[in-house]
Amino acid sequence: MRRYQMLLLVILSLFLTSVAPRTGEAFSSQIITRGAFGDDVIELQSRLQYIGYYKGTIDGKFGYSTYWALRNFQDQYGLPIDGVAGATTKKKLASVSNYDKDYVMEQIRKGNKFTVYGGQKKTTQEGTGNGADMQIPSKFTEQDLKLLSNAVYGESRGEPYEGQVAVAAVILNRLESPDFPNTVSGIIFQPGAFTAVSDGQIWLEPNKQAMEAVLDAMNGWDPSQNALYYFNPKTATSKWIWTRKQITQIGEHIFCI
Amino acid sequence: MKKTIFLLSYALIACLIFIVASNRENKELQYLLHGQYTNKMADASTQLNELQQAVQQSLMYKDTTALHQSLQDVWRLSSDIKYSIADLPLDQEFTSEWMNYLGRLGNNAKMTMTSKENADKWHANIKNVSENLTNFSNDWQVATAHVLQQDNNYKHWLEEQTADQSTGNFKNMAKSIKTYRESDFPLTASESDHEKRKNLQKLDDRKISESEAINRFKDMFPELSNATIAVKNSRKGAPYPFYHITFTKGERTGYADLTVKGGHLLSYLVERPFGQTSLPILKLKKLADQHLKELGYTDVVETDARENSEVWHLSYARVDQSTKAKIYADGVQVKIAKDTGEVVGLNGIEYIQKEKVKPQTMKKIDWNTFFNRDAEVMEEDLAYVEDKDFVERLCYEVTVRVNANKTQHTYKVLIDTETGEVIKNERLS
Repeated sequence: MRRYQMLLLVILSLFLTSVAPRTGEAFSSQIITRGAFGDDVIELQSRLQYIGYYKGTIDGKFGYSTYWALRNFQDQYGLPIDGVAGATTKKKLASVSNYDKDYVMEQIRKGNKFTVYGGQKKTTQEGTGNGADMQIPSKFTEQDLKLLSNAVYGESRGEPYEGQVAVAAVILNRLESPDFPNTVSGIIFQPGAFTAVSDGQIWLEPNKQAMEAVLDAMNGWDPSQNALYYFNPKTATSKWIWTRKQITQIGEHIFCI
Repeated sequence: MKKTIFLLSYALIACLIFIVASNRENKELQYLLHGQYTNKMADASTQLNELQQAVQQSLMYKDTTALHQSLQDVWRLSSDIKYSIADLPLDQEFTSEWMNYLGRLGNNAKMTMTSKENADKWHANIKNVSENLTNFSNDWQVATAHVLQQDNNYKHWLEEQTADQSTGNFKNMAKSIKTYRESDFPLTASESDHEKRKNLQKLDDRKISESEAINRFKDMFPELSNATIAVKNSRKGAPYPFYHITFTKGERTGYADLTVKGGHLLSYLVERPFGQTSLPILKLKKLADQHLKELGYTDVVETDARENSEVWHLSYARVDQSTKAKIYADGVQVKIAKDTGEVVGLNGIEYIQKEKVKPQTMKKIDWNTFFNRDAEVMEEDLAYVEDKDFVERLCYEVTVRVNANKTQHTYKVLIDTETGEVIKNERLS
């Protein structure tokens, strides 16, 4: 009889553990602040959305929407209102919300964008669309990141990392020059401007290094030092390009204005 | 017989050459067409995003001048986007519905601007318009995603759009536009050019030698003092001469550019493998601050921080000591590794020549009369930014939260402290 009681206790404990809301230990020990990115932010957004504070996309990016939602939550629960998810805030949030990690992460893995979590059938919650898993400065769009990465990979894969940053920077420098179109796509697809567009290499899938090079250029790095053109002296056929003022050479490319 | 064989072979070779050349030409034309459509599509996406922001901004202001500026943007952008869409091979039903919608939106903005329509009516309708545009923008991203991908997807997509019985995403979008009410109507390319063009030619510091440049580099980054270092001069055409220092140490490779005049750091970047661990952000920010101070950037404050998989990108701006206003044009950017807190990138080009800012009258502005009731002022600060005449102006830097029907959007609005003019309005993500 005693053995059965023990067994019943164990089964009951296991059941309660499985149905109880998951608590603070689900978050990592990191403090989560505005600008953060990753699994902790996904959990934060999901939990805030579950209890009705966050209405944006669960994308793992701690932007202003998440920030205001968190502040509202802190205000409602009598916590210090700083928009930072520290230990106390995370503990409180975990105690009043639920988080279906497997479901949420599956949607993220599928590349789905979904904005409704909790209170509705899960089958109605899936959206479509792919968000980039990088955080870019607000003056650029994910479309810019994608097009620039394609262009950098098509034009300069095999070049050193700084050479790839420089190629991305040249495209961005053109944005500020009155002699070029004023959008990233306009510059990249300007007829005859880039070999990768003419020979179709722009449609190759860029690797992580190319994307990171673009990210650094978007954040201000410019190893070309304000260049507007570049060329490979071994393959260049245009005489005109040799008339430009040369700034520096990185890898196989000469950068000029 | 020989002659016949020769003639036949000759004809065969000529045919082959012709086929290969035609194929290549066709392929080139195909790439060109794909590129042009992608460009148009990307332009339309950019304009749509700008239109969405302009609509949201028009919801923000009660101040007549600021509101009219937003309305003008709505009018201009709705017209621009109409032309972009007209050039695209899209489902016809979608194109006509969407163009009608944009036409109504633009007309409504124009009428409100010329006071034939009441601004209150605009504000009442705009919440729905803003919501519609957000939904539309999401659908647009899905429908156009293939264009940014590989050639095969593009061909399939193009075939679908031009087929008589289109079943594509645009068909669904056309239907969804129809559900938008006639009275719902919604621009601007906010000027995003806050890049500073420093004329470093005017530097009058003493020229440093190559060995001085190396020593300076080693002083700045002592952890790389035993790295393998190579230096080369910039080429003759460089507007400001600089030393390009490249280094290798273990798994680290990278570069640092220093001006010849004065040895100022232009930029520094390291490439290395990163570990999986991550230090707390507060510790990383402390390490970045400490590194900046050691390098002489003692008067800067953090203005932005963005985490990515292996690094944080941190942005700083110089602070004017008399007004405590941030001077965005004198910025520094830091890239710090999450695993060890090592500074793996520093961009200091904008900080080398500091802006000479002038004192300016500060008129008090009542935010309740300047902003509409749906716009909530969350934070207020001071900052210097460049106006359209490239003059640094002291501005109130106001973080505004706009409450639309279901969603909230956050904007940073910079308003001239003397004239009350909106110099810049940027959506914060």
